[in-house]
Amino acid sequence: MLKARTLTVEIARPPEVVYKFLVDPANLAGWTMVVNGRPEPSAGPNSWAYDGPRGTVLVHFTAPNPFFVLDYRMQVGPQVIHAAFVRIIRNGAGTVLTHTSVQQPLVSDQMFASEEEWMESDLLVLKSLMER
Amino acid sequence: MRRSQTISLFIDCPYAVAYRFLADPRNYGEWAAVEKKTYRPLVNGDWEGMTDIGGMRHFRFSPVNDFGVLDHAVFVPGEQPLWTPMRVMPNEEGTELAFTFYQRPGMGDEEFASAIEWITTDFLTLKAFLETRRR
Repeated sequence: MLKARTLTVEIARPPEVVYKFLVDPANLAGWTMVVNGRPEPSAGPNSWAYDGPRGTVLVHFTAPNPFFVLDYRMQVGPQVIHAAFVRIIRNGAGTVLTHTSVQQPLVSDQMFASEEEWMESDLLVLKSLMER
Repeated sequence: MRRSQTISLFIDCPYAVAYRFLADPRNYGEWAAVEKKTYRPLVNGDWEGMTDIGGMRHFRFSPVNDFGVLDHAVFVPGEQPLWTPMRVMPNEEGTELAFTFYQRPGMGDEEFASAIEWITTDFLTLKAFLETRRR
């Protein structure tokens, strides 16, 4: 069993709007630490490469789907450094985003805890971007 | 937007087993607060049954899917279904479950907190059930 942690953020925008933004891999560069996104079809049908603070990061996304599921895996070199289950759910006219990170093998407890702190602030950035 | 709280827990039961069990509406009476003997399918694909919170309710379930999505709606017949988001996710040999509960209209904060406690208990029962069953 790998350690898992669920974060949630409420966003005062309809789930369709939030999903449409997040399902486009090009938009990831707008609110996280990565830039210069480009498709990487050799890595998978929904895989993109980005330039991150510590080099190239590959992100494997979930294909667009009617359940608004946005699971992803981040890879640096051969190693998956981060994997999460993400879902956009409806709350009246607004959205609840649930983000469950699963601590990957080789990721230390300390690194996982620090990642989760980063994730929490990323999600707040996303919230303000969407609500602007 | 309503107040919401997400409950998450680890279940020591393989994901495929947990999903197959929870996705089958026939099993809903095994773990949810519905009287088993009144619980039955309706012609339109919904189910009905007597709930502990008082009265007959209809139930509607997500179609079978590859994402572990197990949303279900509990509603008074004829009224708008209120969907409850739920999902199971694989975690090595086990399963993570996430369930989001919304504060109902007219539900006070204390009542909301108490509902969360009841639901948490229901999920611990489900956890024990699946961990015993794990085949």
